[in-house]
Amino acid sequence: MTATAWEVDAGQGLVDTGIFTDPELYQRELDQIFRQTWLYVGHDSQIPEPGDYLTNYLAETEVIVIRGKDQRVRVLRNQCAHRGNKVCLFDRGNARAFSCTFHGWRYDDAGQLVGVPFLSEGYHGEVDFAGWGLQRAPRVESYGGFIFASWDPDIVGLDSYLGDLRWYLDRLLVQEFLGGVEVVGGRQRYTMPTNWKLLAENFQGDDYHVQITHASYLRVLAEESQGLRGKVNLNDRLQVAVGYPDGIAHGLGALKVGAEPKDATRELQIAEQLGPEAVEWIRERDRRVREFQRDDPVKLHLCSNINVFPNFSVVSGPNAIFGTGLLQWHPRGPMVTDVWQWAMVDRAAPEVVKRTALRELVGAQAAAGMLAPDDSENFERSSDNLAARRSSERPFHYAMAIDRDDDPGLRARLAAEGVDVDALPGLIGPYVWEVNQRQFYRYWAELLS
Amino acid sequence: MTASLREEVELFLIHEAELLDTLQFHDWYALLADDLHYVIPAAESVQGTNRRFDETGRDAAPRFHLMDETKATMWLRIRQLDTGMRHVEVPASSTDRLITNVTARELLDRAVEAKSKFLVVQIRHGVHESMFTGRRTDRLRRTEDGFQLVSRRVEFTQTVLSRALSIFF
Repeated sequence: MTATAWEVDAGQGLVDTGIFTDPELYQRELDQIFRQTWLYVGHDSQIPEPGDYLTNYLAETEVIVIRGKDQRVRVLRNQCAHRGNKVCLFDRGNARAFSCTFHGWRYDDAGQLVGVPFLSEGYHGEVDFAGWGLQRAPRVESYGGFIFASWDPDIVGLDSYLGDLRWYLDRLLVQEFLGGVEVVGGRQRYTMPTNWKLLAENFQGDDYHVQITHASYLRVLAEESQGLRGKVNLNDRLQVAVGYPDGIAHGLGALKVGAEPKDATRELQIAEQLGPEAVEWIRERDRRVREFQRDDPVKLHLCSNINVFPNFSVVSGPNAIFGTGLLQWHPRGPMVTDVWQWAMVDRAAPEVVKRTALRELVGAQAAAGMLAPDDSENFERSSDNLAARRSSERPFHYAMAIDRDDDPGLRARLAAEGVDVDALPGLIGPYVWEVNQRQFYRYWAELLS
Repeated sequence: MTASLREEVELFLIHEAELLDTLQFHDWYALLADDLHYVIPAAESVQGTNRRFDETGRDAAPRFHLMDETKATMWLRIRQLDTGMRHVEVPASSTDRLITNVTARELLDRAVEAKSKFLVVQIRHGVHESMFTGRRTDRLRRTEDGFQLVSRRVEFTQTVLSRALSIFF
């Protein structure tokens, strides 16, 4: 299959549906997308001590993410150098070494080969220990505790890769001004019968689907605004295209910004139901947010969805008492995705706030939540159709406002509210906007060409 | 364990499963106690232990579960089904909940602990078939109208669920 056989015309907003089904193209993606990008593998809080590890995947390749005795995090392929057996069999743990159960080759916490049975009898002492360690991802870097790895030794640094996204991640995800964040125990894992790109681009910028796909959720929130949930107003939300128009494309959606920091009244109302500890935390949190944002030309209030190219997504709630979901779209063939979801809370928050925040996330964008299963249903239906694809199939339509990526009307409206859009990193667009999805496919096609 | 207690509990669990299989969600909701805690922990394999699930009681460390519900959040879920726009249940899944290996023991305060295993088959659109197996530990409360479900902990045998969850267990 040649590079041009699958037409991705991001300029026209037309995407050949073969890119969601073709097995040969999928193999090229494994080499050219997933080996030339930074992939998320875990968070510092999950492996705080030397020897702590978790297993994860770089696309289809299983890796061990381990903090060594020297505190350095390494990403090791979970494959014995001798004959390819797995050397680690657990989701997480603490280990000083990994031994293969086939012939017993043994590796230390840096992946170095340190033991070979029958070394003198069998090998006459001649084994190249330095050359036959576990395969190591050549690049591992973290941004504010979020650890990424890449197979590409020459890839730009993680800071450059994230680019303008960092400004948003500092405020939404890393949040050092709050005392940092914590990825709690428990990982959801389920299968979605669809191509990984349809999930990634959904978080990159498909806020258009929310009011239809999630109509039932929005209605329940509006009608049953008892307790901790309430009516959601989507009209004043924005999107951001990072890397527009020719850089590394990341996207943020359902953002809310203002000339003043977010009003914490709603959070305080919720906190009052949870007790004085929660109220105290929300007051303190609000104070720290205001202090951190003091010099920000525009104040960031919230953001619902982020995609870090290619397949790491974030979902956040409407307020500070709502857990943040970290989603990985692990590809398993052109039409199957292994969905992994973790949950993150403010590290310094009292336990009652953490507990409530996690419960809110579980009930919303999660494996059994009131949101994600409806997305999954839509993708399953479209996958049924994609499976019947013929070569003459019409492309998918991403051509909304195709000649108007920039929106002067939006710029004027926000200016009237005292918000200078140009002070925000990235290209700012309205809530319903397909620029982020076009950018996703534009950058994807660049990597493949 | 007396045979009569086991039979009494088993009939309750069968009744409950039948309500869910026949989409009588409001009648099922009526069986939930006001202080309900319904939790499905996420499984993981941790080096050095064969335990696949952590504690989920009210005093356990905060964790990310598959479901972690109170009666109030269950009500939101029932209301979501009522809208007719919960796409993943339109048309409703065909389900069979097979409940087996039931044991029961009396606790203090008119409460009963019930354990059971389940095999749930879910079919979407007549073609997409999923299967869930596992075990449940329930706490039931005797009332004048029969048992109420006070707490339920569901442990799936599957670690990788074959689909996002849109049904109750």
